[in-house]
Amino acid sequence: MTQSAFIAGYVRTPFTPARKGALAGMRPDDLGAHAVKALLERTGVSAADIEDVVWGCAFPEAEQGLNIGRVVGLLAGLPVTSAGATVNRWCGSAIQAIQMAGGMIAMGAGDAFVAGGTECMSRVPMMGFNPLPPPTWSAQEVQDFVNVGLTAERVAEQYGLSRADQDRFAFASHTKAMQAQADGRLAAEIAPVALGNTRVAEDGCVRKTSMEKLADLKPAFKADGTVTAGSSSPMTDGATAVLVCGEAYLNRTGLAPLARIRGFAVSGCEPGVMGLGPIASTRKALARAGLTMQDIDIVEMNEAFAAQAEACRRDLEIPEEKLNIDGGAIAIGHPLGATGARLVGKAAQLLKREGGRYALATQCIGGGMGIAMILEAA
Amino acid sequence: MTDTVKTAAVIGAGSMGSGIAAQFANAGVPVLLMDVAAAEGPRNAAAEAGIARQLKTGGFMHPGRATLVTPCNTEDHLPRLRDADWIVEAVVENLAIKRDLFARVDAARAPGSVVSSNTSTIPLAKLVEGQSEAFARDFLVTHFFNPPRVMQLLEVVAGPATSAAASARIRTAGDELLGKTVLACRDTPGFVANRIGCFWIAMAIIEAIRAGLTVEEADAIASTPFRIPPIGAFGVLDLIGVDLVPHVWGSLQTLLPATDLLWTYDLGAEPLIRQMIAGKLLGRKTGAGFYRVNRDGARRSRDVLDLGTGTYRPERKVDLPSLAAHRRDLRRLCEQDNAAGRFAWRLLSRLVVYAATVGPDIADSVADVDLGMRLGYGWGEGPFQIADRAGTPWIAERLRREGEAVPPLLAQAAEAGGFHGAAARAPAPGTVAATRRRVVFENAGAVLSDIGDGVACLEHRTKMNIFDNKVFEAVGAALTEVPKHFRALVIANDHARCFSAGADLGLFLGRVKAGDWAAIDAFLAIGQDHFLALKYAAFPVVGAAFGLALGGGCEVLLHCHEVVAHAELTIGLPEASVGLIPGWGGCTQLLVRWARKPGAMKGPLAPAAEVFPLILRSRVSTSALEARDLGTLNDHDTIVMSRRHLLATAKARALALAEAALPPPPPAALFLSGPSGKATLMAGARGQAALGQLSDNDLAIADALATVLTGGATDPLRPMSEQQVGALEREAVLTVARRPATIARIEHMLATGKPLRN
Repeated sequence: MTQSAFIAGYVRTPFTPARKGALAGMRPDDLGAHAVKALLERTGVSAADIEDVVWGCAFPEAEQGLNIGRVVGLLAGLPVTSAGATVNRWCGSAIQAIQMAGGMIAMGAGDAFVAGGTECMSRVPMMGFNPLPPPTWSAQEVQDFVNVGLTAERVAEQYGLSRADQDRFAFASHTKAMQAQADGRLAAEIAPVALGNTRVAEDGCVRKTSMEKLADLKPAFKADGTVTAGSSSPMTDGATAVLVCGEAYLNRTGLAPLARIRGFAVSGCEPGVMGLGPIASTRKALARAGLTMQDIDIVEMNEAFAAQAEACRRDLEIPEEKLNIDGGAIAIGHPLGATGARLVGKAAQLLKREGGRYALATQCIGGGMGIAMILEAA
Repeated sequence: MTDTVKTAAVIGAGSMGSGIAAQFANAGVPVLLMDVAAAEGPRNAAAEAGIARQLKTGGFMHPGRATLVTPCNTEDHLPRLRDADWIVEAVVENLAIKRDLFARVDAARAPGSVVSSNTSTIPLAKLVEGQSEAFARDFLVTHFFNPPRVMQLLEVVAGPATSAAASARIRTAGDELLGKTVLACRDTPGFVANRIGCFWIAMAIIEAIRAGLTVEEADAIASTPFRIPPIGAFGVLDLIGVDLVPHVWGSLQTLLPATDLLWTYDLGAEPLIRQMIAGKLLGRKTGAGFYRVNRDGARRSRDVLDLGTGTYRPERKVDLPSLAAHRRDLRRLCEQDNAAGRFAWRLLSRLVVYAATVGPDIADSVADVDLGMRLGYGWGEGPFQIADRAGTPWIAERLRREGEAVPPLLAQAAEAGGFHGAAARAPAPGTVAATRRRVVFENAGAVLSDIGDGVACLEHRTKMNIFDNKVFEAVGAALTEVPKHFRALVIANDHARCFSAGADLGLFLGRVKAGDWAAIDAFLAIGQDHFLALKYAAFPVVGAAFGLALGGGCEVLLHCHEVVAHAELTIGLPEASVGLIPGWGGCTQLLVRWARKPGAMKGPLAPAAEVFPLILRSRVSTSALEARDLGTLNDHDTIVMSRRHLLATAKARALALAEAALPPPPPAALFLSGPSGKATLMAGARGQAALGQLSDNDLAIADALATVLTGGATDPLRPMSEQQVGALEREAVLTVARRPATIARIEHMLATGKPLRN
């Protein structure tokens, strides 16, 4: 017994820079609950219908610990009868959460799910408070696993991507995001947060830059390297929520879906070139959906670093005009456990907004993995 | 309570006003900072800018203290003055503006509050003219020096109408609360420090021009031989701003009678000064004054103004053989029959004659004049101390021989053999020397004294108060003598700026070069054993920390039951800068502290992750408040603003602990992360190395340090004792000490006092 799973709603908080951004003072569970409440309001779905909150988080400890999926559901006012789980696949956590919701729908284990994720990089540092890798690993193996910036340098070398190539990619991301923000195209997905007397309604990472400014930045990870803060995604606070439901639920409630989940894959690669993860996962997901890249109209690929995103774009032959048309993580930010749901939600939203049949959402994952999900217009 | 200051207000948010407000905040006192309301935009903009300026220039001892300063403006918020116990006026030096402001302040303030003016030149009598009687009763002049956090002097002038209570309140608050040395001054123009200091600058500059000396020569003579900062008179005027000559010197002169010797050095009338003001050669603020700094990329060079032609030429090295020969012997220098000798004598004789002439009018004693110049101008000695060093009778006699008038005070002092009698050399109140009742133990390294009330004091007497075997012998004596004869131990000393600079690096280096590893290990073990014995002593041990507390100086304090710290405390473990890691329990105790630190993350690696960069980057505090953040002070350690009250406060804390009779703490158990945690710390260090922030030698130190902080081969579930981690410290020190790069770092530090990056 299988049934299709649909993306029927997408909301996120503003994404703001870690520590100095407007949301740094907010707890990750509150941030998550804010997104879930807004999702239910905007879709009109009854809270009691939600089977489970499947919630991504890359470093689920401290304020993000205690099974944040369950905490977010309770804080969002879901009835105690709705369950909650935390999903950790590092940067791929929230796409994985959507897949798990969709998987449960496919096997008849529920028909309405909130999936998404939170990361407060202000309050729980990347790698957590007590990172303890296997002591049997060599220094290089540990380095490849935890210092993702250096893996981006390696990808840049392997693919012959110059500093200018990366800066150009980053500048395009910044430019697209600035324009999307100015046109109100980002506001459609953002649930503004009221903090005391102030209202945080816009992404805080999006900023004006120029090729000259980008060229002036010092390398961020390697003295003679090519990766800079300007061509990397910033540390970010944010939460994203997506409504995942089955066909029967859509029929019963009359809810209009954005897109249907058509395919999914995860893959592994050398941890030292983790940025190349999307290549294998995308190929697998396309093959499983019986599609090729030519069939894809919309691509939302995470930009952990310009180096890896451009390498994957070239390898997968993704046309520039289809990629991250409202800007990517370099400009918008990358709250690790929340990003995947932004990519899937955004891809679904864009299929609706821009027209087109198929969309791809994909990410690289630290430790050497990729994750990809194919959507079809519904 | 009328005698304390719980809330303050400062009106005028310029560099002085905002700096005074920051010092109140440093003392933990909430303060209103007011300036005029902005015509456009946010109305408190001027006060906000003042706070931002202090944050940028280091006026706050901790950025968090800025929240104690409330920005406001004199149009909207004067009624808030009702809450202030002490209102400091620091607006522009304009009598009419000050008078108008005082009338408004008087109407808004609470009865019994004190108002003071930070004027540097306007007499108190003029300021209170036309104000209410109550205002005159509650009014003083409080003259701070710039920057208020750093400069120790606070000149206080009480008028004839000022109440004793107001006067006492401000003197106490200035001393204990703000940590300043209060100098009671008479109501005379320029008070003490500026009266002498302005004369000195004007006199030195004009005498140099008359003598045909160069700027470099004059500044070289008018500094080191007098124990005056090397910047010299021309350099200081560049710093102050040449454009301030008419305001500062001009206004001071007009307030003084025409007989005052300052009139013989009319700086404002000097053609060169007028040219410089007209030509916008105003000193550092315009990039060019008597000196002009040229920046060519990273290279800096200086040009100097030719006093004859008024044009710039490259700076020249001073070539005055008699100055080189006698720079530390002022009298011999003055006796040289050449340009340098004649100029030095001119400076000395004019200074001493002026100070002796005006001294009786401006201060209660010659000691007060000297104090004013030391603390207000940063001189090593005041004018009367300089005279005594050169020979006061000789000065008087030479003046007579040259047919010059000898002021009565100088004549008397010459008769008496000097300005300062034996009484002046008595130890200052509040010092260990003044508090000592008897010596219990002493050797070449340290003294153990009875300081009364059942408290013993352990006092270093080594250079920079370093730790050597003799000092540890004295620590050992304290450990045996205190339980027999005393209730508590205080570790304190009277050094001007150094609690303790740590281990004897020269001794350490000698042993490294001799390959005497056993002796090094023994020296480390002695330190660890003695410090741990202090930590687990059955009597209270309180450290009185101030100035520099580095390396071993920090480690001994980490083992004290409590520390009473002067607010200006530079504490830390900079061993890595000499290629080493802390080996007397510094690593261990910082781990213990971070594992217990309120608000810090817990877990097997979290404390090590905090301590690792502190030690690897040789991080030292810039204040006692910051030391709390870094874990080198505990939150419950007392911070005092006044160094003079440090020992008494430490003694009181020691007695309070003795009274509480707490048992010694149970031995600490450390749960460390083992090789896994080390992998994480080193991944971080390698990331910094990839960025060029750490050298290969730094990485070697990082490796040794990470081994200690993660407990070597331990498992997170296995508790380690302080002794076990201490053994790892010793092993790690011996590992890095064998590296040639470490030897090079130590040699460089011993030779230059600066760290070597290799």
